[in-house]
Amino acid sequence: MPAIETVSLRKYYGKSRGIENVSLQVQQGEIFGFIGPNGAGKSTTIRILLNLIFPTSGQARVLGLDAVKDTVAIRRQVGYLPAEVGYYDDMAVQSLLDYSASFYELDRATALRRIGDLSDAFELNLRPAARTLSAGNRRKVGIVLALLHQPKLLILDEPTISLDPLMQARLFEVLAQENGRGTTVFFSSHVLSEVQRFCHRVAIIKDGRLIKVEDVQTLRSGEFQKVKVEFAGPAPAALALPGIIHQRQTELSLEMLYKGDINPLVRLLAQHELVHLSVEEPGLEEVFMHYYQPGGESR
Amino acid sequence: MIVLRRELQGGLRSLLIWVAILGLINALTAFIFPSFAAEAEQLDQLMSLFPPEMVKALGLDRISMADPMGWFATEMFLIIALAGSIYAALLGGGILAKEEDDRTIEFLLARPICRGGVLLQKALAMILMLVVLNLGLFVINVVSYALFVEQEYAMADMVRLSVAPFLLHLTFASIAFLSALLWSRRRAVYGISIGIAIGTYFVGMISSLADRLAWLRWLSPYRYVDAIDILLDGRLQPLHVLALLAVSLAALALTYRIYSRRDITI
Repeated sequence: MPAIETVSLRKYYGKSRGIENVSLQVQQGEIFGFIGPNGAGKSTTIRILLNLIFPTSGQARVLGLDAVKDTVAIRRQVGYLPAEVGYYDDMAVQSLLDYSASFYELDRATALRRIGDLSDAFELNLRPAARTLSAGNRRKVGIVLALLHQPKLLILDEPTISLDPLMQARLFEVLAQENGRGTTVFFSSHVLSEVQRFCHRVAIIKDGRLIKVEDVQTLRSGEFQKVKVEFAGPAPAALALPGIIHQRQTELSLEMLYKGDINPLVRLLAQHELVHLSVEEPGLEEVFMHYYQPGGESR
Repeated sequence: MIVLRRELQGGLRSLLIWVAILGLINALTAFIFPSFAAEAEQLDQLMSLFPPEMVKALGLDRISMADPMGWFATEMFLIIALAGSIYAALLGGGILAKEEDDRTIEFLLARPICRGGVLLQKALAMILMLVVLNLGLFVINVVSYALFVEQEYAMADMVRLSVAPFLLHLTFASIAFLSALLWSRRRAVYGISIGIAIGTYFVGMISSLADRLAWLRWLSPYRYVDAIDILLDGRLQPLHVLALLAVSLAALALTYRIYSRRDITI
Protein backbone atom coordinates (compact mmCIF):
# COMPACT_ATOMS: atom_id res chain seq x y z
CA MET A 1 0.00 0.00 0.00
CA PRO A 2 1.55 3.32 -1.04
CA ALA A 3 1.55 6.17 1.49
CA ILE A 4 0.13 8.49 -1.13
CA GLU A 5 -1.45 7.54 -4.40
CA THR A 6 -3.21 9.83 -6.83
CA VAL A 7 -4.79 8.73 -10.07
CA SER A 8 -5.45 11.28 -12.82
CA LEU A 9 -6.07 13.91 -10.18
CA ARG A 10 -7.50 17.09 -11.61
CA LYS A 11 -8.57 20.31 -9.94
CA TYR A 12 -10.05 23.41 -11.47
CA TYR A 13 -11.07 26.50 -9.53
CA GLY A 14 -13.91 27.57 -11.73
CA LYS A 15 -12.16 27.92 -15.04
CA SER A 16 -8.67 28.43 -13.74
CA ARG A 17 -6.38 25.45 -13.65
CA GLY A 18 -5.16 24.00 -10.38
CA ILE A 19 -3.69 20.68 -11.44
CA GLU A 20 -4.20 18.49 -14.44
CA ASN A 21 -3.95 14.71 -14.59
CA VAL A 22 -1.57 14.23 -11.66
CA SER A 23 -0.78 10.56 -11.03
CA LEU A 24 1.68 10.06 -8.25
CA GLN A 25 2.81 7.28 -5.95
CA VAL A 26 4.74 7.79 -2.76
CA GLN A 27 5.88 4.59 -1.07
CA GLN A 28 5.82 4.13 2.69
CA GLY A 29 9.11 4.98 4.34
CA GLU A 30 10.22 7.34 1.59
CA ILE A 31 11.35 10.91 1.84
CA PHE A 32 9.68 12.34 -1.20
CA GLY A 33 10.24 15.81 -2.59
CA PHE A 34 7.65 17.65 -4.59
CA ILE A 35 9.21 20.52 -6.47
CA GLY A 36 7.96 23.17 -8.77
CA PRO A 37 7.80 26.93 -9.12
CA ASN A 38 5.13 29.01 -7.40
CA GLY A 39 1.68 28.38 -8.74
CA ALA A 40 2.62 25.03 -10.23
CA GLY A 41 0.01 23.15 -8.21
CA LYS A 42 2.00 21.85 -5.25
CA SER A 43 -0.33 23.25 -2.61
CA THR A 44 -3.39 22.28 -4.63
CA THR A 45 -2.27 18.65 -4.68
CA ILE A 46 -1.43 18.69 -0.98
CA ARG A 47 -4.70 20.35 -0.01
CA ILE A 48 -6.63 17.67 -1.86
CA LEU A 49 -4.85 15.00 0.18
CA LEU A 50 -6.11 16.66 3.37
CA ASN A 51 -9.59 17.20 1.87
CA LEU A 52 -9.39 20.93 2.35
CA ILE A 53 -10.43 21.13 -1.29
CA PHE A 54 -12.26 18.63 -3.42
CA PRO A 55 -10.82 17.15 -6.62
CA THR A 56 -12.64 18.04 -9.82
CA SER A 57 -11.98 14.52 -11.02
CA GLY A 58 -9.61 11.68 -10.33
CA GLN A 59 -8.80 9.94 -7.09
CA ALA A 60 -6.49 10.37 -4.18
CA ARG A 61 -5.68 7.80 -1.53
CA VAL A 62 -3.64 8.42 1.57
CA LEU A 63 -2.36 5.41 3.54
CA GLY A 64 -4.84 3.33 1.58
CA LEU A 65 -7.77 5.54 2.56
CA ASP A 66 -9.93 7.62 0.26
CA ALA A 67 -9.06 11.31 0.59
CA VAL A 68 -12.68 12.43 0.35
CA LYS A 69 -14.53 9.69 2.24
CA ASP A 70 -12.07 8.73 4.97
CA THR A 71 -10.82 12.19 5.83
CA VAL A 72 -10.91 11.84 9.59
CA ALA A 73 -9.02 8.53 9.59
CA ILE A 74 -6.42 10.11 7.30
CA ARG A 75 -6.05 13.19 9.46
CA ARG A 76 -5.51 11.01 12.50
CA GLN A 77 -2.36 9.54 10.95
CA VAL A 78 -1.05 12.53 9.06
CA GLY A 79 0.92 15.53 10.26
CA TYR A 80 0.32 18.52 8.03
CA LEU A 81 2.20 21.77 7.77
CA PRO A 82 0.28 24.30 5.66
CA ALA A 83 2.15 26.78 3.49
CA GLU A 84 0.61 29.57 5.48
CA VAL A 85 -1.22 29.22 8.72
CA GLY A 86 -2.90 31.51 11.21
CA TYR A 87 -3.11 30.88 14.91
CA TYR A 88 -5.78 31.75 17.44
CA ASP A 89 -5.10 35.20 18.83
CA ASP A 90 -5.83 34.29 22.42
CA MET A 91 -3.51 31.28 22.62
CA ALA A 92 0.07 31.01 23.78
CA VAL A 93 2.24 28.52 21.91
CA GLN A 94 1.92 26.09 24.80
CA SER A 95 -1.88 26.16 24.82
CA LEU A 96 -1.99 25.87 21.05
CA LEU A 97 0.13 22.72 21.24
CA ASP A 98 -2.02 21.38 24.08
CA TYR A 99 -5.16 22.14 22.09
CA SER A 100 -3.77 20.29 19.11
CA ALA A 101 -2.69 17.31 21.24
CA SER A 102 -6.19 17.03 22.68
CA PHE A 103 -7.52 16.03 19.26
CA TYR A 104 -5.38 12.90 19.12
CA GLU A 105 -5.36 9.75 21.19
CA LEU A 106 -2.26 10.86 22.96
CA ASP A 107 -1.75 10.48 26.67
CA ARG A 108 -0.79 13.59 28.58
CA ALA A 109 2.70 12.40 29.56
CA THR A 110 3.65 11.45 26.01
CA ALA A 111 2.29 14.73 24.68
CA LEU A 112 4.25 16.75 27.22
CA ARG A 113 7.46 14.87 26.54
CA ARG A 114 7.02 15.25 22.83
CA ILE A 115 6.30 18.98 23.13
CA GLY A 116 9.40 19.33 25.30
CA ASP A 117 11.64 17.42 22.87
CA LEU A 118 10.43 19.23 19.78
CA SER A 119 10.49 22.70 21.26
CA ASP A 120 14.05 22.04 22.45
CA ALA A 121 15.08 20.80 19.02
CA PHE A 122 13.69 23.90 17.35
CA GLU A 123 14.59 26.30 20.18
CA LEU A 124 11.00 27.36 20.48
CA ASN A 125 9.74 29.47 23.36
CA LEU A 126 6.34 28.19 24.47
CA ARG A 127 5.19 31.23 26.40
CA PRO A 128 4.43 33.99 23.88
CA ALA A 129 1.15 34.24 22.00
CA ALA A 130 1.49 32.24 18.80
CA ARG A 131 0.14 35.04 16.68
CA THR A 132 2.71 37.60 17.71
CA LEU A 133 5.68 35.44 16.71
CA SER A 134 8.04 36.21 13.86
CA ALA A 135 7.52 34.36 10.59
CA GLY A 136 10.33 31.93 11.36
CA ASN A 137 8.99 31.12 14.81
CA ARG A 138 5.45 30.71 13.51
CA ARG A 139 6.86 28.24 11.04
CA LYS A 140 8.53 26.34 13.85
CA VAL A 141 5.24 26.19 15.73
CA GLY A 142 3.66 24.75 12.59
CA ILE A 143 6.39 22.15 12.30
CA VAL A 144 6.03 21.11 15.93
CA LEU A 145 2.24 20.91 15.43
CA ALA A 146 2.76 18.60 12.47
CA LEU A 147 5.18 16.33 14.32
CA LEU A 148 3.53 16.33 17.74
CA HIS A 149 1.30 13.28 17.45
CA GLN A 150 3.93 11.08 15.79
CA PRO A 151 2.07 10.70 12.52
CA LYS A 152 2.73 7.89 10.06
CA LEU A 153 2.92 10.36 7.23
CA LEU A 154 4.18 13.93 7.23
CA ILE A 155 2.89 16.26 4.55
CA LEU A 156 4.83 19.50 4.65
CA ASP A 157 4.09 22.40 2.34
CA GLU A 158 7.32 24.36 1.82
CA PRO A 159 8.65 23.59 5.30
CA THR A 160 11.90 25.54 5.03
CA ILE A 161 10.34 28.87 4.11
CA SER A 162 11.36 31.62 6.54
CA LEU A 163 13.64 29.30 8.52
CA ASP A 164 17.27 30.33 8.85
CA PRO A 165 19.89 27.90 7.47
CA LEU A 166 20.65 26.52 10.92
CA MET A 167 17.00 25.71 11.52
CA GLN A 168 16.63 24.28 8.04
CA ALA A 169 19.45 21.87 8.84
CA ARG A 170 17.83 21.08 12.21
CA LEU A 171 14.53 20.42 10.48
CA PHE A 172 16.07 17.91 8.12
CA GLU A 173 17.86 16.22 11.01
CA VAL A 174 14.56 15.79 12.80
CA LEU A 175 12.84 14.63 9.62
CA ALA A 176 15.61 12.07 9.05
CA GLN A 177 15.09 10.83 12.62
CA GLU A 178 11.36 10.49 12.11
CA ASN A 179 11.98 8.78 8.81
CA GLY A 180 14.30 6.36 10.59
CA ARG A 181 11.31 5.37 12.75
CA GLY A 182 9.31 4.59 9.64
CA THR A 183 7.56 7.88 9.05
CA THR A 184 6.98 8.72 5.41
CA VAL A 185 7.88 12.32 4.57
CA PHE A 186 6.30 14.15 1.67
CA PHE A 187 7.31 17.76 1.28
CA SER A 188 7.08 20.45 -1.33
CA SER A 189 9.79 22.91 -2.15
CA HIS A 190 11.06 25.16 -4.84
CA VAL A 191 14.67 24.78 -3.78
CA LEU A 192 16.31 22.03 -5.78
CA SER A 193 19.36 21.63 -3.57
CA GLU A 194 17.45 20.77 -0.38
CA VAL A 195 15.35 18.31 -2.27
CA GLN A 196 18.43 16.75 -3.80
CA ARG A 197 20.12 16.39 -0.46
CA PHE A 198 17.31 14.87 1.56
CA CYS A 199 14.95 13.02 -0.71
CA HIS A 200 14.93 9.54 -2.07
CA ARG A 201 12.69 10.48 -4.93
CA VAL A 202 11.45 13.68 -6.48
CA ALA A 203 8.42 14.69 -8.47
CA ILE A 204 8.59 17.80 -10.60
CA ILE A 205 5.40 19.70 -11.26
CA LYS A 206 4.93 22.64 -13.56
CA ASP A 207 1.81 24.40 -14.76
CA GLY A 208 -0.32 21.86 -12.97
CA ARG A 209 1.18 18.85 -14.65
CA LEU A 210 3.57 16.28 -13.29
CA ILE A 211 6.56 16.46 -15.57
CA LYS A 212 8.78 13.87 -14.07
CA VAL A 213 9.15 11.53 -11.14
CA GLU A 214 12.75 10.61 -10.65
CA ASP A 215 15.11 8.92 -8.32
CA VAL A 216 17.18 11.60 -6.69
CA GLN A 217 20.40 9.83 -7.65
CA THR A 218 19.89 10.92 -11.24
CA LEU A 219 19.09 14.47 -10.27
CA ARG A 220 21.96 14.63 -7.86
CA SER A 221 24.16 17.62 -7.76
CA GLY A 222 26.71 17.44 -10.59
CA GLU A 223 24.40 15.55 -12.85
CA PHE A 224 23.27 18.77 -14.44
CA GLN A 225 25.68 21.62 -14.95
CA LYS A 226 25.20 25.03 -16.31
CA VAL A 227 28.15 25.89 -18.53
CA LYS A 228 28.96 29.36 -19.80
CA VAL A 229 31.74 29.83 -22.30
CA GLU A 230 33.17 33.01 -23.79
CA PHE A 231 35.28 32.47 -26.87
CA ALA A 232 38.26 34.56 -27.93
CA GLY A 233 37.16 34.43 -31.54
CA PRO A 234 33.72 34.01 -33.02
CA ALA A 235 31.83 31.20 -31.35
CA PRO A 236 31.80 27.95 -33.25
CA ALA A 237 28.58 26.64 -34.67
CA ALA A 238 26.53 24.64 -32.19
CA LEU A 239 28.61 22.09 -30.33
CA ALA A 240 27.57 18.54 -30.87
CA LEU A 241 27.80 16.27 -27.83
CA PRO A 242 25.10 13.95 -26.51
CA GLY A 243 25.18 15.57 -23.02
CA ILE A 244 24.42 19.04 -24.28
CA ILE A 245 20.89 20.09 -23.70
CA HIS A 246 19.41 23.39 -24.60
CA GLN A 247 22.28 25.57 -25.79
CA ARG A 248 21.98 29.26 -26.42
CA GLN A 249 24.45 31.11 -28.58
CA THR A 250 25.44 34.70 -29.03
CA GLU A 251 28.28 36.04 -31.18
CA LEU A 252 31.08 35.33 -28.74
CA SER A 253 29.53 33.15 -26.10
CA LEU A 254 27.68 29.99 -25.49
CA GLU A 255 25.42 28.98 -22.64
CA MET A 256 24.24 25.46 -22.16
CA LEU A 257 22.77 22.95 -19.79
CA TYR A 258 24.95 19.89 -19.67
CA LYS A 259 24.11 16.44 -18.41
CA GLY A 260 26.50 13.59 -17.76
CA ASP A 261 30.25 13.11 -17.73
CA ILE A 262 31.99 16.47 -17.94
CA ASN A 263 35.25 15.18 -19.54
CA PRO A 264 34.14 14.95 -23.17
CA LEU A 265 32.90 18.54 -22.93
CA VAL A 266 36.18 19.74 -21.46
CA ARG A 267 38.09 18.04 -24.29
CA LEU A 268 35.78 19.57 -26.85
CA LEU A 269 36.17 23.07 -25.40
CA ALA A 270 39.95 22.67 -25.22
CA GLN A 271 40.03 22.87 -28.99
CA HIS A 272 38.94 26.52 -28.77
CA GLU A 273 40.57 29.64 -27.41
CA LEU A 274 38.51 30.74 -24.40
CA VAL A 275 38.26 34.02 -22.50
CA HIS A 276 36.04 32.80 -19.72
CA LEU A 277 34.54 29.53 -18.56
CA SER A 278 32.12 28.93 -15.72
CA VAL A 279 30.52 25.72 -14.60
CA GLU A 280 27.84 25.99 -11.99
CA GLU A 281 24.87 24.15 -10.59
CA PRO A 282 21.82 25.07 -12.58
CA GLY A 283 18.83 26.68 -10.97
CA LEU A 284 15.67 24.73 -10.66
CA GLU A 285 14.10 26.77 -13.41
CA GLU A 286 16.72 25.61 -15.86
CA VAL A 287 16.26 21.99 -15.01
CA PHE A 288 12.55 22.54 -15.42
CA MET A 289 13.16 24.13 -18.77
CA HIS A 290 14.91 20.98 -19.80
CA TYR A 291 12.04 18.78 -18.76
CA TYR A 292 9.53 21.20 -20.02
CA GLN A 293 10.76 21.63 -23.54
CA PRO A 294 8.66 19.67 -25.97
CA GLY A 295 11.80 18.15 -27.51
CA GLY A 296 13.55 17.73 -24.16
CA GLU A 297 13.84 14.49 -22.33
CA SER A 298 10.52 13.59 -20.90
CA ARG A 299 9.24 10.38 -19.62
CA MET B 1 -16.45 18.05 22.06
CA ILE B 2 -13.08 19.78 22.01
CA VAL B 3 -14.21 22.53 19.66
CA LEU B 4 -17.37 23.09 21.67
CA ARG B 5 -15.38 23.55 24.86
CA ARG B 6 -12.99 25.93 23.16
CA GLU B 7 -15.82 28.03 21.71
CA LEU B 8 -17.49 28.29 25.10
CA GLN B 9 -14.23 29.32 26.74
CA GLY B 10 -13.50 31.80 24.01
CA GLY B 11 -17.00 33.29 24.00
CA LEU B 12 -17.52 33.44 27.75
CA ARG B 13 -16.16 36.92 28.31
CA SER B 14 -18.22 38.61 25.66
CA LEU B 15 -21.30 36.66 26.76
CA LEU B 16 -20.90 37.81 30.35
CA ILE B 17 -20.48 41.40 29.23
CA TRP B 18 -23.68 41.25 27.22
CA VAL B 19 -25.61 39.65 30.09
CA ALA B 20 -24.26 42.25 32.50
CA ILE B 21 -25.08 45.27 30.34
CA LEU B 22 -28.51 44.13 29.19
CA GLY B 23 -29.24 42.93 32.72
CA LEU B 24 -28.29 46.32 34.12
CA ILE B 25 -30.50 48.15 31.63
CA ASN B 26 -33.39 45.83 32.48
CA ALA B 27 -32.88 46.22 36.21
CA LEU B 28 -32.93 50.02 35.84
CA THR B 29 -36.07 49.77 33.73
CA ALA B 30 -37.71 47.71 36.47
CA PHE B 31 -36.50 50.24 39.01
CA ILE B 32 -38.31 53.17 37.37
CA PHE B 33 -41.54 51.22 36.82
CA PRO B 34 -43.18 52.16 40.16
CA SER B 35 -42.88 55.89 39.48
CA PHE B 36 -44.44 55.39 36.04
CA ALA B 37 -47.24 53.22 37.38
CA ALA B 38 -48.06 55.79 40.05
CA GLU B 39 -48.79 58.30 37.33
CA ALA B 40 -50.81 55.84 35.24
CA GLU B 41 -53.55 58.35 34.47
CA GLN B 42 -51.14 60.96 33.18
CA LEU B 43 -49.42 58.27 31.16
CA ASP B 44 -52.67 57.40 29.45
CA GLN B 45 -53.29 61.08 28.76
CA LEU B 46 -49.85 61.36 27.31
CA MET B 47 -50.58 58.45 25.02
CA SER B 48 -53.70 60.15 23.67
CA LEU B 49 -51.48 62.97 22.42
CA PHE B 50 -49.61 60.63 20.09
CA PRO B 51 -51.00 59.85 16.66
CA PRO B 52 -53.22 56.77 16.95
CA GLU B 53 -51.21 54.93 14.26
CA MET B 54 -48.13 55.21 16.34
CA VAL B 55 -49.84 54.07 19.50
CA LYS B 56 -51.13 51.14 17.52
CA ALA B 57 -47.74 50.36 16.06
CA LEU B 58 -46.35 50.11 19.57
CA GLY B 59 -49.33 48.02 20.64
CA LEU B 60 -50.23 50.51 23.38
CA ASP B 61 -53.89 50.52 22.39
CA ARG B 62 -54.16 46.97 23.61
CA ILE B 63 -52.16 47.03 26.78
CA SER B 64 -51.34 49.36 29.64
CA MET B 65 -47.80 50.31 30.49
CA ALA B 66 -48.93 50.77 34.07
CA ASP B 67 -49.35 47.00 34.34
CA PRO B 68 -46.14 45.16 35.38
CA MET B 69 -46.29 42.78 32.43
CA GLY B 70 -47.42 45.55 30.09
CA TRP B 71 -44.32 47.43 31.14
CA PHE B 72 -42.18 44.35 30.62
CA ALA B 73 -43.69 43.68 27.19
CA THR B 74 -43.19 47.23 25.92
CA GLU B 75 -39.84 48.05 27.52
CA MET B 76 -37.68 45.16 28.65
CA PHE B 77 -38.83 42.70 26.07
CA LEU B 78 -37.84 45.17 23.37
CA ILE B 79 -34.35 45.56 24.81
CA ILE B 80 -33.80 41.83 25.07
CA ALA B 81 -35.28 41.11 21.67
CA LEU B 82 -33.46 43.81 19.76
CA ALA B 83 -30.09 44.07 21.53
CA GLY B 84 -30.00 40.32 22.05
CA SER B 85 -30.56 39.78 18.34
CA ILE B 86 -27.53 41.91 17.61
CA TYR B 87 -25.50 39.74 19.99
CA ALA B 88 -26.92 36.66 18.27
CA ALA B 89 -25.99 38.01 14.83
CA LEU B 90 -22.43 38.75 15.97
CA LEU B 91 -22.14 35.35 17.65
CA GLY B 92 -23.51 33.31 14.77
CA GLY B 93 -21.68 35.32 12.15
CA GLY B 94 -18.32 35.21 13.87
CA ILE B 95 -18.16 31.68 15.19
CA LEU B 96 -17.55 30.18 11.75
CA ALA B 97 -16.17 33.13 9.78
CA LYS B 98 -13.36 33.78 12.23
CA GLU B 99 -11.65 30.50 11.37
CA GLU B 100 -11.29 31.46 7.74
CA ASP B 101 -10.69 35.12 8.49
CA ASP B 102 -7.84 34.33 10.87
CA ARG B 103 -6.62 31.49 8.67
CA THR B 104 -6.95 29.03 11.52
CA ILE B 105 -9.26 26.78 9.54
CA GLU B 106 -6.34 24.89 8.04
CA PHE B 107 -5.05 24.21 11.50
CA LEU B 108 -8.44 23.00 12.65
CA LEU B 109 -9.24 20.82 9.64
CA ALA B 110 -5.84 19.14 9.76
CA ARG B 111 -6.84 17.66 13.14
CA PRO B 112 -8.87 14.45 13.11
CA ILE B 113 -12.28 16.07 12.95
CA CYS B 114 -14.76 16.20 10.12
CA ARG B 115 -16.39 19.36 8.88
CA GLY B 116 -19.76 18.21 10.14
CA GLY B 117 -18.25 17.81 13.58
CA VAL B 118 -16.82 21.31 13.50
CA LEU B 119 -20.18 22.72 12.44
CA LEU B 120 -22.18 20.72 14.94
CA GLN B 121 -19.97 21.72 17.85
CA LYS B 122 -19.95 25.36 16.84
CA ALA B 123 -23.74 25.38 16.41
CA LEU B 124 -24.15 23.74 19.82
CA ALA B 125 -21.83 26.28 21.42
CA MET B 126 -23.81 29.07 19.80
CA ILE B 127 -27.15 27.69 21.03
CA LEU B 128 -25.78 27.12 24.53
CA MET B 129 -24.54 30.69 24.73
CA LEU B 130 -27.94 31.99 23.64
CA VAL B 131 -29.56 29.87 26.34
CA VAL B 132 -27.19 31.30 28.92
CA LEU B 133 -27.88 34.85 27.74
CA ASN B 134 -31.64 34.42 28.03
CA LEU B 135 -31.52 32.43 31.23
CA GLY B 136 -29.22 35.01 32.79
CA LEU B 137 -31.52 37.85 31.79
CA PHE B 138 -34.55 35.91 33.04
CA VAL B 139 -32.99 35.52 36.47
CA ILE B 140 -31.99 39.19 36.58
CA ASN B 141 -35.50 40.23 35.56
CA VAL B 142 -37.22 38.04 38.15
CA VAL B 143 -34.93 39.35 40.86
CA SER B 144 -35.40 42.98 39.75
CA TYR B 145 -39.18 42.57 39.77
CA ALA B 146 -39.02 41.03 43.23
CA LEU B 147 -36.98 44.01 44.41
CA PHE B 148 -38.66 46.94 42.70
CA VAL B 149 -42.18 45.96 41.60
CA GLU B 150 -44.84 45.64 44.26
CA GLN B 151 -47.81 44.67 42.10
CA GLU B 152 -48.63 41.04 41.47
CA TYR B 153 -47.82 39.57 38.10
CA ALA B 154 -48.13 36.13 36.51
CA MET B 155 -44.85 34.24 36.46
CA ALA B 156 -46.16 32.27 33.48
CA ASP B 157 -46.27 35.50 31.47
CA MET B 158 -42.73 36.32 32.51
CA VAL B 159 -41.58 32.86 31.42
CA ARG B 160 -43.34 33.14 28.06
CA LEU B 161 -41.88 36.57 27.44
CA SER B 162 -38.43 35.22 28.29
CA VAL B 163 -38.66 32.21 25.99
CA ALA B 164 -39.85 34.28 23.03
CA PRO B 165 -36.62 36.34 22.64
CA PHE B 166 -34.61 33.14 22.69
CA LEU B 167 -36.50 31.97 19.60
CA LEU B 168 -35.68 35.27 17.91
CA HIS B 169 -32.03 35.04 18.87
CA LEU B 170 -31.83 31.49 17.61
CA THR B 171 -33.31 32.55 14.28
CA PHE B 172 -30.94 35.46 13.75
CA ALA B 173 -27.91 33.51 14.93
CA SER B 174 -28.70 30.68 12.51
CA ILE B 175 -29.15 33.07 9.61
CA ALA B 176 -25.83 34.72 10.51
CA PHE B 177 -24.24 31.26 10.72
CA LEU B 178 -25.33 30.59 7.16
CA SER B 179 -24.29 34.00 5.89
CA ALA B 180 -20.77 33.31 7.14
CA LEU B 181 -20.46 30.85 4.27
CA LEU B 182 -21.60 33.33 1.68
CA TRP B 183 -19.32 36.15 2.81
CA SER B 184 -16.34 34.67 4.57
CA ARG B 185 -14.92 38.05 5.61
CA ARG B 186 -16.10 38.68 9.12
CA ARG B 187 -16.85 42.35 8.68
CA ALA B 188 -19.19 41.66 5.78
CA VAL B 189 -20.91 38.88 7.72
CA TYR B 190 -21.44 41.15 10.73
CA GLY B 191 -22.85 43.90 8.53
CA ILE B 192 -25.28 41.62 6.77
CA SER B 193 -26.49 39.75 9.82
CA ILE B 194 -26.89 42.81 12.04
CA GLY B 195 -28.65 44.46 9.11
CA ILE B 196 -31.10 41.57 9.01
CA ALA B 197 -31.65 41.66 12.78
CA ILE B 198 -32.41 45.39 12.84
CA GLY B 199 -34.01 45.68 9.40
CA THR B 200 -36.63 43.04 10.08
CA TYR B 201 -37.56 44.85 13.28
CA PHE B 202 -38.47 47.95 11.32
CA VAL B 203 -40.25 45.86 8.71
CA GLY B 204 -42.36 44.54 11.59
CA MET B 205 -43.08 48.08 12.81
CA ILE B 206 -44.09 49.28 9.36
CA SER B 207 -46.39 46.32 8.86
CA SER B 208 -48.54 47.41 11.77
CA LEU B 209 -48.67 51.07 10.67
CA ALA B 210 -50.71 50.51 7.55
CA ASP B 211 -53.21 47.77 6.82
CA ARG B 212 -52.05 47.72 3.22
CA LEU B 213 -48.64 46.59 4.42
CA ALA B 214 -49.93 44.09 6.96
CA TRP B 215 -48.60 41.19 4.91
CA LEU B 216 -45.08 42.45 5.63
CA ARG B 217 -45.38 41.15 9.16
CA TRP B 218 -44.65 37.65 7.95
CA LEU B 219 -41.20 38.79 6.90
CA SER B 220 -40.32 39.93 10.39
CA PRO B 221 -39.37 37.29 12.96
CA TYR B 222 -40.25 39.83 15.66
CA ARG B 223 -43.92 39.66 14.73
CA TYR B 224 -43.96 35.90 15.19
CA VAL B 225 -43.31 36.41 18.88
CA ASP B 226 -45.03 39.73 19.49
CA ALA B 227 -44.92 40.36 23.23
CA ILE B 228 -48.37 41.95 23.40
CA ASP B 229 -49.96 39.16 21.37
CA ILE B 230 -48.34 36.65 23.71
CA LEU B 231 -49.71 38.47 26.77
CA LEU B 232 -53.23 38.79 25.35
CA ASP B 233 -53.32 35.23 23.97
CA GLY B 234 -51.79 33.82 27.12
CA ARG B 235 -49.52 31.65 25.01
CA LEU B 236 -46.97 31.59 22.21
CA GLN B 237 -48.64 30.65 18.93
CA PRO B 238 -47.38 27.12 18.26
CA LEU B 239 -47.35 27.72 14.50
CA HIS B 240 -45.23 30.84 14.95
CA VAL B 241 -42.79 29.03 17.21
CA LEU B 242 -42.61 26.24 14.69
CA ALA B 243 -41.95 28.71 11.89
CA LEU B 244 -38.99 30.28 13.71
CA LEU B 245 -37.58 26.88 14.62
CA ALA B 246 -38.01 25.74 11.04
CA VAL B 247 -36.15 28.77 9.68
CA SER B 248 -33.31 28.17 12.16
CA LEU B 249 -33.11 24.50 11.37
CA ALA B 250 -33.20 25.15 7.64
CA ALA B 251 -30.39 27.70 7.91
CA LEU B 252 -28.26 25.29 9.95
CA ALA B 253 -28.99 22.38 7.62
CA LEU B 254 -28.16 24.46 4.57
CA THR B 255 -24.92 25.54 6.22
CA TYR B 256 -24.05 21.90 6.78
CA ARG B 257 -24.84 21.02 3.19
CA ILE B 258 -22.76 23.81 1.70
CA TYR B 259 -19.92 23.50 4.16
CA SER B 260 -19.39 19.79 3.75
CA ARG B 261 -18.84 20.18 0.03
CA ARG B 262 -17.02 23.38 -0.39
CA ASP B 263 -13.36 24.14 -0.95
CA ILE B 264 -11.57 25.81 1.90
CA THR B 265 -9.65 28.62 0.29
CA ILE B 266 -7.93 31.23 2.38
